[in-house]
Amino acid sequence: MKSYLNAIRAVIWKDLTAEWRTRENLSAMLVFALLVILIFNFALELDIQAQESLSAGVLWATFIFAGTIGLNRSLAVEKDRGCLDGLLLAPVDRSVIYFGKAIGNLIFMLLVEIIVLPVYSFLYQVPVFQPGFLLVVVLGSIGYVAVGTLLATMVIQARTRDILLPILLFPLSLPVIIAAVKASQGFLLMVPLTEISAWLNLLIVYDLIFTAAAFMVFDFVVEE
Amino acid sequence: MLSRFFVPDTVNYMIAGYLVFGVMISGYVMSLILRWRKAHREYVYLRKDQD
Amino acid sequence: MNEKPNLLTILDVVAGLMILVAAGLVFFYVPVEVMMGSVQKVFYFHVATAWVGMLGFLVAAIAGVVYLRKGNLLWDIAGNGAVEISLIFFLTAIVLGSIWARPIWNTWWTWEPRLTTAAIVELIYAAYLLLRQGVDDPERRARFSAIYAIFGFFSVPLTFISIRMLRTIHPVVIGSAEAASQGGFNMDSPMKLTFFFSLAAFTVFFADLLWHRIRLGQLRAEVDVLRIDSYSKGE
Repeated sequence: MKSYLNAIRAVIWKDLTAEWRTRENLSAMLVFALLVILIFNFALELDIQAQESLSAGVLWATFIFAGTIGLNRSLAVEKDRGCLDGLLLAPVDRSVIYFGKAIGNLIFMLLVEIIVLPVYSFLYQVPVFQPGFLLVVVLGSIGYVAVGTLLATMVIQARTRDILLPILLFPLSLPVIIAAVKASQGFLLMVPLTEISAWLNLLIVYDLIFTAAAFMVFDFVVEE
Repeated sequence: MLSRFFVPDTVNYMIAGYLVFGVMISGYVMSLILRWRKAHREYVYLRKDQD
Repeated sequence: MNEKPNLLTILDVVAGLMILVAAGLVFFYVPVEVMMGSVQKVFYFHVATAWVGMLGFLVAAIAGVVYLRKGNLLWDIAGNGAVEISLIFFLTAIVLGSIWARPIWNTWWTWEPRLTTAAIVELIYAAYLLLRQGVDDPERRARFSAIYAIFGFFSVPLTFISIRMLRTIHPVVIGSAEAASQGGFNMDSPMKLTFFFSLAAFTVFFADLLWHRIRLGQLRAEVDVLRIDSYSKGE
């Protein structure tokens, strides 16, 4: 068990150090996220009044688009440099690779969110710094990344890999998106917790089911 | 029964519904037949090629 | 092996007859519902086509699990066929529902849970077909699409629950006074007979179509093998 966790940590560490050298993935996700917010600003004419009800939707759309970029890139790099084959040769359980990559992707997505949230809150005076809201952000990102990492590993092996990931990922992650938007909207509008808890439960259920399912089938995705 | 006078006339919608059904399903059956023929032609051709 | 099996011919005839009888029951036997008029008769085939759609997606998920365990490409062909048939039937169900909704709900479309879920289901399985198109190696394509079929099948109920939590106006057919105001109704026995007979007829029809589709898939696989052979001989 200990060596299993160490192996996962090694995969995450590898991703983080590689990213630290170039910072290309993170900066791309970040700039992209800010651009999406800019576009929403004009497309929806977000002003201080309108954003009350729209903020949750805008934020999640931003996270999801930025997340897709990050996911695709994180696994495409492995494939192109032949690192995936190297990882597969390592004498560890295949699920180590899945969890390592998924947690690495989750860290990148959370980092982007940590930067985007204060910017958004500064621009529109939205009270995002509440424990409940931040919990929703984490739970939503876990579900999205759990499915996204698995699908991205499939997509990078396909001929049409540049366009396939969002098409496969968006419809499958709709429950997460709906629940995350409704729950974070609830926290932003100061709705009592009893009305939000159903959405939180749904998020947790989705996270558990899909992480477990992805863990079980990951072997088949990287099989040669 | 008084209510018999109030049955709304929605026959056209019913006919439209079953027309749509017929067109879509028979369209699919046709596509199955056409694809089968195409594959079969190719199969026969390649088989001859082999011998 | 391209000879058509006798059993399939029998199944063709049985399925065709059952569909005809179901249509006969709908048009000439079952009484017109007084609240909605004739358009209510769309309901029988609407539910039956939607049922075939769900059945096919279930079959695709099961075929996916079996493929991952056994690795026989026949299961991949079956899963692909089931998804293809289901996409057509489910789309038909959506269009029929829309035609029914026009006079009853006074709108072609509403963002109601079952409708919305149906639209998302169509998108999931359209994505399934795109995934298949994007992968050339048959083994890999089979593995990926099996996984996607399983995941799609898991996510559909969650999608439905999450949209339902937002609200519903779809009629719950067998039921309460509240349902009646939204276009629900109680089925008397001719209605029940027609309803269940339509379901049975469409189930047989689905089995028949799926068999044909699997045979088509097998023939195509053979053609692919032959083609590779003839290329390699030519060189």
